[in-house]
Amino acid sequence: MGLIEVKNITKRFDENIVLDNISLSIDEGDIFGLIGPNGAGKSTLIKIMTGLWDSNGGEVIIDGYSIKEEPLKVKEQIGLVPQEIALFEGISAYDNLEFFGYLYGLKGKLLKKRIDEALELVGLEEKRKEKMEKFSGGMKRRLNIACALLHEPRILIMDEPTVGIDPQSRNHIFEFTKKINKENNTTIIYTSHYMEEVEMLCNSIFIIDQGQEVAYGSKKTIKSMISNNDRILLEVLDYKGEMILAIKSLTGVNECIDENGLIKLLVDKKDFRLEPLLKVIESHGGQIKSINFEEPSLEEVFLALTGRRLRD
Amino acid sequence: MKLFAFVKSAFKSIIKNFLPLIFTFSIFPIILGLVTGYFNEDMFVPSADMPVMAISIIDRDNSEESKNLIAFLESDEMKKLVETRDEEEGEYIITIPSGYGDSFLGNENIPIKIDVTDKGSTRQGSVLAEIIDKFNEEMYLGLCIQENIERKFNLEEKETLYQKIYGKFSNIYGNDLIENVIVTTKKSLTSYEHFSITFLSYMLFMVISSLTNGEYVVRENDLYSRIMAAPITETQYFNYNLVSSYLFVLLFNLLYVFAYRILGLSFTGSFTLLVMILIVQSLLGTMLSALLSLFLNKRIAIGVLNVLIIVQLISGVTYRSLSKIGNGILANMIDRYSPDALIVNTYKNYLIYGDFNSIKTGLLSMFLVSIIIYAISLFGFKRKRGVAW
Repeated sequence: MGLIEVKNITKRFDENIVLDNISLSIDEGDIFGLIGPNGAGKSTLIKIMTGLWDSNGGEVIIDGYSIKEEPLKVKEQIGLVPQEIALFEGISAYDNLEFFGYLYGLKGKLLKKRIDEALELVGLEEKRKEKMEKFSGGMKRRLNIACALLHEPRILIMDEPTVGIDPQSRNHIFEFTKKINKENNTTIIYTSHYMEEVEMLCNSIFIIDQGQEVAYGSKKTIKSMISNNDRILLEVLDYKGEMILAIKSLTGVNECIDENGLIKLLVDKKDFRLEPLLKVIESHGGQIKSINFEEPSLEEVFLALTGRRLRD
Repeated sequence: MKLFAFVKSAFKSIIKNFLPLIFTFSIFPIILGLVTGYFNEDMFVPSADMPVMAISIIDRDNSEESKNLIAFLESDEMKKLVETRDEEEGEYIITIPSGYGDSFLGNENIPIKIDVTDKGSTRQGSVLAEIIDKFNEEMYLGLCIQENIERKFNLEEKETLYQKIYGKFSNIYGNDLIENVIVTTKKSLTSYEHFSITFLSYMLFMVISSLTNGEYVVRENDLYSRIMAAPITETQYFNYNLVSSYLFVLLFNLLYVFAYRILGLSFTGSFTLLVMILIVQSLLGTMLSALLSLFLNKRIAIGVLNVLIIVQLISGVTYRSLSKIGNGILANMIDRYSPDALIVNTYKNYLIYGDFNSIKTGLLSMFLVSIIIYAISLFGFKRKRGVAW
């Protein structure tokens, strides 16, 4: 049984079904990606998981507690980073952190210590007394996350935490997200429009579209759902022209394209063997400079499964 | 601790934005009130404009004393205050009970009954009762003296003594007795007092507007979701939010009112009563903002508040002029139906009469309305659970 169990969750607004019988399980210490286009039902699922909304059916169990029956016990274990910059504009970074610290029952020296740690983690220790309105978008995003970390939650839910920020701040967020996962074994649920982020951070993925599960499992499992093909990129020097034809004739090679020394192969994982390929290259006088194996990207997976791009 | 979080963040927000807040909610309305008050001073010269009370007298005693009372009430001097009419037309029915005259000698208490009809006001009925009480006191005193004199002196001595005593009485009480009552009841607001109330209401609506808007911002930027994702119940959130809003409203009401009080231009009566009104009035303002932000969407709520502010301002600024047109029908309508009528009338009564009796109805009404709004809002809030936002 996972730390988080979502069982047959259904949510309707009037006649509209926003979530249709969603089930998933998340293990402790996992970084779980929840992806889907706008209006897919990600935020609704998060609101139900955090006890903000009731579902019309199904249940959410976190660490053995039902969110419906013991919401406060569940909420104590969760840190939510909302999609919007959910902070008080008129007060300082420190005051914002203090407010949320009090809400989670922190006080005195412990609260001060946690505030210092959170500010250091997100790289805002120098800006603690500055008013929020003077912060850049990236700094606000980082503070938005810091507020959810104060009580050292077992579960951190990050709803599109990198929207509209510069690459530097984004990298910073990735770094400390990985750090808290590694050091504190914090379970992280991460939603994003950016597939590369999810691909880089997450171990397990749930793809949702129009309130329904599209795909769910480990990253590898999901990628294997759409194809048995792998892509191989070869950088070869001094080869003869017939080499491409010879490669194309190898078992398991579906496609071979020569782009000025960069050879792109699409191979069937089941039938393809590397050794014959290396022999063909050698026999045609070619010298391998580099070789890379590529899986299909999550973006490609999403496109294949839903027929549209994530950011359409 | 959670309540403390709400209150502390509200106060920090106030402190960090003190200058714009104090300008908007204190300095600006006070200056408006002072300037308007100054330029309209002539229109607010205190005048004897208390309406004449239409009385009907039923004399069940027919004694010399009851006739004296009737004569007193029908005297020229009293015509400024009361006018005798037939029983059906009277706004105040005065019934002199049988045994009234004898009660003076027997030292019994046989009270005169004053029935206030739908057209009359309880407040003025009390004034009438006070006048009759004073008359009775005088009568009783006079009869006691007369009886003692009858017993002890001969005819010539009696005459001289009567003249001396009544001469002194008329100097001590005489018309002054009635005048005192008249002066108390006829007090009207100065222009500064009137406009201080008008712009206090304006300021309150502005504060409500600001709080309502703030509530929408909290929902729009997901701050509401973030707070509710913390271990806090809906009821706690609702109540803590109300407490911090309430303190905000109370603070700016206090600043406004005490600025006028320090200047000596308005709100100079009983401190305790003033604080009581402020406490209840701030409660009403807080509840109104909760109700609006809960049941109306942002655009409609802001629209409603703007309309209320405009109507309230027009009512307050034109009140005096309207009171002189068409027997004051429009002014009476403002008294009853202006959006801030409850608040304005409570403050007016506080300034004119300065006693608890005169403000208790207003206070109680504001309190009851606040409680009803609170109950409706809490019910609505728990039912919605943020879904409709």
